Amino acid sequence: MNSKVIYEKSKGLSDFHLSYCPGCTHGIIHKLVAETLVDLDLLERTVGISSVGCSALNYDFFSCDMQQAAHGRAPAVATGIKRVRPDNIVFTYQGDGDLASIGIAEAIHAAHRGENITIVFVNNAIYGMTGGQMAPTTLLGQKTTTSQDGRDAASQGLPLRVSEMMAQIPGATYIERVSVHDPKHVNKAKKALKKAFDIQNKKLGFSMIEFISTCPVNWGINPKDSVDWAVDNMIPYYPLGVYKDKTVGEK
Amino acid sequence: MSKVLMKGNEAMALAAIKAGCDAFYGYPITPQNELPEYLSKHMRTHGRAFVQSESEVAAINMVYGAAGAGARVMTSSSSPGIALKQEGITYIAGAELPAVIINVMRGGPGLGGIQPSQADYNQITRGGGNGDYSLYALAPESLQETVDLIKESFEIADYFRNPVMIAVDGLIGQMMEPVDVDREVKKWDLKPKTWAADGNRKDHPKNIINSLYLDPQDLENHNIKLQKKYTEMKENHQRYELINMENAEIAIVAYGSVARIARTAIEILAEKGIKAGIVRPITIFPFPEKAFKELPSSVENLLVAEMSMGQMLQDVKLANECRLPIHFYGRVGGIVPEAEEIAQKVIDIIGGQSHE
Amino acid sequence: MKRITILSGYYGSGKSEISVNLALQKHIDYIVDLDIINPYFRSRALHELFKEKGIKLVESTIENMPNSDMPYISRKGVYPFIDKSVTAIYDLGGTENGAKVLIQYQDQIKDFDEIDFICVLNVFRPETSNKKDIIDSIILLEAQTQLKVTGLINNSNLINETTEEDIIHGENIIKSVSEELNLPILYTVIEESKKKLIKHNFLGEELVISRIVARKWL
Repeated sequence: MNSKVIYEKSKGLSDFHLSYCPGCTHGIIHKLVAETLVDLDLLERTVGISSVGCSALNYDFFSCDMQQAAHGRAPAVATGIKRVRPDNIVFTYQGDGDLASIGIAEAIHAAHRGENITIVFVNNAIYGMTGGQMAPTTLLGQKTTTSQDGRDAASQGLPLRVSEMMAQIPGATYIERVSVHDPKHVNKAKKALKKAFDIQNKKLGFSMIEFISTCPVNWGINPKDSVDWAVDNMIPYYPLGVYKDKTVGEK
Repeated sequence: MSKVLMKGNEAMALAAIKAGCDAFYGYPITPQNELPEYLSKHMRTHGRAFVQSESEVAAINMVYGAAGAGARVMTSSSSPGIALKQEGITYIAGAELPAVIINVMRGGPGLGGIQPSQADYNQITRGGGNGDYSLYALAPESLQETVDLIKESFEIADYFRNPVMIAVDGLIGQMMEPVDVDREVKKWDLKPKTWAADGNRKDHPKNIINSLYLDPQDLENHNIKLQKKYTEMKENHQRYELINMENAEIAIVAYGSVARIARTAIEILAEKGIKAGIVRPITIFPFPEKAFKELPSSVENLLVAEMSMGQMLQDVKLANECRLPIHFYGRVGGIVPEAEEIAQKVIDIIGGQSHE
Repeated sequence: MKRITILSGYYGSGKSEISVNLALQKHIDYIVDLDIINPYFRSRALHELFKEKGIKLVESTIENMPNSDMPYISRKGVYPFIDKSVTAIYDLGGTENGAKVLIQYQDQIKDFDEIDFICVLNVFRPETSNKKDIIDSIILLEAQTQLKVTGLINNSNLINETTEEDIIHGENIIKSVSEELNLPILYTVIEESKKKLIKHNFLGEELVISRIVARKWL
């Protein structure tokens, strides 16, 4: 009997079973990163940096060389690698606790130096791994284990818009915010990743793609409704789009 | 090559270039600034990487990245900056990566001062970061020795796949001395870095650089493996110098700049007819306990002299195994003991005026 | 010797040691320590000695704190330029970066009949070991300070290991610079413990110095 392969797992992913919860979009984002590296034929010379958070174990999931970084330090680790291996492709994969809180300095300064790396930034408005604490990106009124009455602007500040902030940094080349809540947006997100890795491959400088993501378990919302919650609550505060693209001139 | 006159910080920088250091990442702090300044100029001309990072924390994590990619990499700082680097240092040790870290020590605690100190002894020899790990720590006393040891330290780091710390005080960083930067140093038997996550999958299967072991048994096994390295360092790689020890009635235990001062002190004492020797640790981890087993029977007292409140003293007590009375002379805050002070302390000890 | 002597040069070339020795030997009124580069071994560390010898020390605005690395420059540094009755030595930090502090006195440094701007040279310092590098360093120094160097000092040495040949080797290189740039060698420095070994007649005034700033055991 003849069989025809109509879909297979990307060669950019290993045989490991992804450990993420149902309804979490880390899996889709992993797949997009892996497919992009394969499509652009970059996989064999790529080093990925896993960070601290739910994605910490993804050094097992991607099939390229991987290095695990301390909490928030992935852009510094990526800098260290890229400066001694400038022809490699180097990306970090960081959540919003990792990048927007403890690692904000490393992220800003990697962009500021125009490091020729790509940051895959996954924003689900909460700390997932450590048990649902408030993140800088947690929305106003959102309940977390450290904002049990809902985030309050007076004592906990307003949610941080990372892409908007990074776009202000003169050294950054490409900043885009995407979402993976439906197939149309998944395709758009993949295009954004392709653009970012292509920029890196052409040595045009720093790129960051922010993904609006979900955390059904810590949000306490079922997987299907979580997608709706992200669309209804996150995207209005974190609008999708290209925030900076130096390759077409500054806006 | 003939000798040149160099400032300690510059000489250390040049030694790194001579050792094939591929990358330097660091952040400004007194009294080591001439080192990154020198490298900012000269690494580029040698086609090497230099980044002035946004912080000490970032610098050491850049070191971790480059070391993971198989490069020879170095950072330098001074005491409070080294404290900041501890996060990255324990990751480097945990992931078994080679790196060279220079610590030009200044007075503490806190912001302390900018003058020379040896008060990082515990920070250097007792980890500093979290977990059971050790650095191979070298404490030279002259610029020539510093240059030679920095060149060799890249070999040692590669051999053990472990960070090596060069522990000097601010005086070594700031002093001028003639050095031969091209002197041959010991080459270690090194294997290719087939473990590196260097983004070169054509040559090797996937490599992962990691210090995370969520299974307790895996983590215990990893710790046992690490411990074997430190045991090998202790058994086979202690370094020390015994100076003027024949018929010595007292041994001054001192390292780095203080050993240098002790050399003048024993000359002063010789003029007064007192025979004093020096035990000079060159490695402070592993601590050279073997040196204390080699002391002649003429030695009746030990004097530990250091620029701290008695941090190395604890290691001397362990190495001495209660055999000899131990006296202590320490200056801190950036005050460097004068040779006359150390000599006077010896005179007091011999005259029964000093208590253990 | 002119009324005001400004000493510059690569760091570790011996500026502070020469400044202090000159101040003591020539009974200079002011020593102005403008070293914002070096944290150790600065002439300001000798404030007690200067007090004893009646030499006025101008240093950081935080006086008698030689262990601070705050680069505060005292306004008193301008006095010797204004008061024509005093003599002074200005001790700068290393390289053109250390010398750029002189820009602060741009309006006062005009009369080169009474000011020497001297470059201290030790050819055993790797950055100033040959004619080309020395000339390049002087060009940088002049560009940074917007002042013309008026003379050179041969302080070629390897500290305790210095031989007469070493100083002669230095003189040969510095002489070639001197001829190319038409700058006199004003002093040749000899450390006092080496004095008895010296037979050669060196260019410029022979300045025998003792180690005051650096400790003997260094």
